[in-house]
Amino acid sequence: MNDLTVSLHYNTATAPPDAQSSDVALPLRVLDADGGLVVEGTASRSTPAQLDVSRAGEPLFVRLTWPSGKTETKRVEGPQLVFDDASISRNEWAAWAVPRLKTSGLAAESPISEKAGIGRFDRAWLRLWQLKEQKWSAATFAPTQRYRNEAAVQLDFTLDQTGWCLQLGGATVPWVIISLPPGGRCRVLITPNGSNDPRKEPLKVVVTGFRSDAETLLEFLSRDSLRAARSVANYAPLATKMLEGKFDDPVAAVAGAYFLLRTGEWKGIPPWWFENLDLRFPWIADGSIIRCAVLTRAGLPDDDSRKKALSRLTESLKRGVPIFAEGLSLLHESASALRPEGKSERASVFEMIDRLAASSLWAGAAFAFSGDDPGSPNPKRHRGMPTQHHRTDRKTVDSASATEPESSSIIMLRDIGR
Amino acid sequence: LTTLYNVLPAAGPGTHVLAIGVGKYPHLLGGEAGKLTAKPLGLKQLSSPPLSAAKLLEWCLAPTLVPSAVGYRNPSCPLASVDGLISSATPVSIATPTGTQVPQAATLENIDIAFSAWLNRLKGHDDNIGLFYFCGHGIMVADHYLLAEDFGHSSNKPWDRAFDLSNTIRAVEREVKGAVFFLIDACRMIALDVALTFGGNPSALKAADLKKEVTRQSLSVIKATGEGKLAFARENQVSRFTDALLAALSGRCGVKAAGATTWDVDGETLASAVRRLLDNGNKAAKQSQVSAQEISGSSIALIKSASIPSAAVEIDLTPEEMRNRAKFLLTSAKGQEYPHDGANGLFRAVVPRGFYTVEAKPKGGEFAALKFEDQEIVPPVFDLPMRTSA
Repeated sequence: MNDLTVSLHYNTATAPPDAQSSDVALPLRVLDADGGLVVEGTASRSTPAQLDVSRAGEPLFVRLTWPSGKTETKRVEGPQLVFDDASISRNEWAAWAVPRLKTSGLAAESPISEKAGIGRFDRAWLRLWQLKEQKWSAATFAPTQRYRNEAAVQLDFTLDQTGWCLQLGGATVPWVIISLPPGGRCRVLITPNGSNDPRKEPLKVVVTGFRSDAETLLEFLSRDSLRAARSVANYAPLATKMLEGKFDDPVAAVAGAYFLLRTGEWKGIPPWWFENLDLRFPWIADGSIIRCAVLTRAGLPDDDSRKKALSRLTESLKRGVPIFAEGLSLLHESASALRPEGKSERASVFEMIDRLAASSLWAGAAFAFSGDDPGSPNPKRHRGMPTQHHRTDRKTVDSASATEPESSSIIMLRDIGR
Repeated sequence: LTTLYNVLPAAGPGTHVLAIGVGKYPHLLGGEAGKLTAKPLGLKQLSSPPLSAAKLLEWCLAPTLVPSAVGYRNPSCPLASVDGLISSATPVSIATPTGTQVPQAATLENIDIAFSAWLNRLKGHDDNIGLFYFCGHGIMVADHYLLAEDFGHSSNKPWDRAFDLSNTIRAVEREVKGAVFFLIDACRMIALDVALTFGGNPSALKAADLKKEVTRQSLSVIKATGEGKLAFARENQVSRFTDALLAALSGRCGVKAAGATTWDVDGETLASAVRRLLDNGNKAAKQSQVSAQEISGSSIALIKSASIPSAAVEIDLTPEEMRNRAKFLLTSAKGQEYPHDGANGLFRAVVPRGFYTVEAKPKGGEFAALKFEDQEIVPPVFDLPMRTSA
């Protein structure tokens, strides 16, 4: 056999049906009997992988890797191999999230155990936060669509061009805040967390801004799966195209920039691409974070360049919090490098970054953290219902703060989809 | 003595190791009489770090003493230098090609000297690999701070005998052009209040020259635990993280690139294997431990081995009475067979990486035979729980 064609017959999984980029590529590796790599590639729904296996002996196996890190492996028994999602999910509306979940009651073949049922979290609550004039305010909870089955609830929002966060909590759910992608449609799926990871939260929140390729790339990065991320990014080449297309989709450009910074490939990118991503989209904190990291990594030859890097660091906090977890890592890296010795007039900036870093939680590609509200990150975890006495007296010289929540901003999980 | 080995390659790159283990802290709880610092932060003496650092040093040096021994191997970037600093209540000695040596104490001054020498060697070739290992007390304040033996020597300035790992990394990645691996076996408890009330702001081992651009090709930082968490070790034993690290480095992980002849362990592969091994150890541990990593840049192999990496396999069949009446067979895609009699308990074996068929057959028709084909056994650990009804 000389050529192997691997096709993905994924009708619903990997992307919401109406995603901007629903034709996401997934990494494939052809392996020999020892598990050694023969050849690698990517396949998407529209473009099968054409792989040269002429130099390999038999048997051969193909491993497909999902963004969750879960893998599916098949033996090669002819020149055509197909992966399909015929039984991936019990509901079409939730299928997009299954590849981002390592274990899930959403999978069609899994019987729903009591532990995997969303019903036991009915008394958990959700609250939506919006950044207005550098202050976080509780926003009216008005999803455009709501779905529910035994294993999950799902909400669709349309979000303005400003910072947005979703907060969850409850008697058995420590409060967690998840950054949402602004400037368009956003879908959130909430399901009991079946992971064995000791860091896991009771509820797993999966977020999509309907940018499947960008989000797939970031899911791999969030797991430090650079080999898989490189396979996906080399398909097109995706990351550079995403960054180049910042005026069409700045959130996808952020994902592309994060990949380029992680792999060291940012040095080949014109610096004004990063500058435009920062300056032309003042509603995205990640743009300033990325620019600050690029400036700092490129070297700060004089006081002016150092001041510029510091100003971008400060600006990023005025814009809220990073959309993606990768942003927190870069924010922390830049703060470490730029932190002055002794007292500084920007002490509140560094303190806020320290608090964000100390409060960060594991949630895959999305940035998640703990705190009373998005302006008050705090590693101490609360449980129970939200209280009405929020800290509005905090010093907020350089960062966004919070105002009192409105009662219409809170919804109970039991009220979703019923 | 801090330098235990120093054989620079005649040409080409080399690997430079600096390993630090701090168990003796005279100024912390249980330390030397009359030397206790005013605020010891609840930190005590540690028995594991000297053993852990010694084990890592011995692993690095083993092939220099016995060529066939398990230890550091990388034909593309051979071992060039090994520096070690160990602070221990009882002296620790290390066998080296020039005889047994007792590493110097890991005071901040000695760490400074050893770090400078290590960094200078690392800068000697664009493709050099650096391995920095630390085992001892760590505190996560604004950045990750690691405590030298003499931490707390002055109650007024306790932090001047600690160092800032985060900014040390920022400095190193601007000084070297090759790959750097930071393997950090220390706690990362959050102590923001400590920072605010205690004036804690230790210096890096080298200040980052921000005028310089980041030049390293690859950076792998693998930490024993996540932010705000503790790392664990049993008394007088190698720590869980270092144990997992050394297992992973000793043939329990590796990937072979297309057309390559060696199985390589880069930062991504190592971090993933360490995490999996720790996760496996969590089953029997009182406290769970999850490592954390930051992997960036190109994929550069720390280890290259001609041998296929192996995995610890554990295959079970429930209910137990059926396992007792089962014969297990693990057959590789190349035809190698590994039989096991269920009457002897769980099926545990160490087998080379690859694809296998797993079978459980009844000795006398007590249950329907089970067969799982094309199971990919990926190191370091492979579990397959099977279930049958009689």
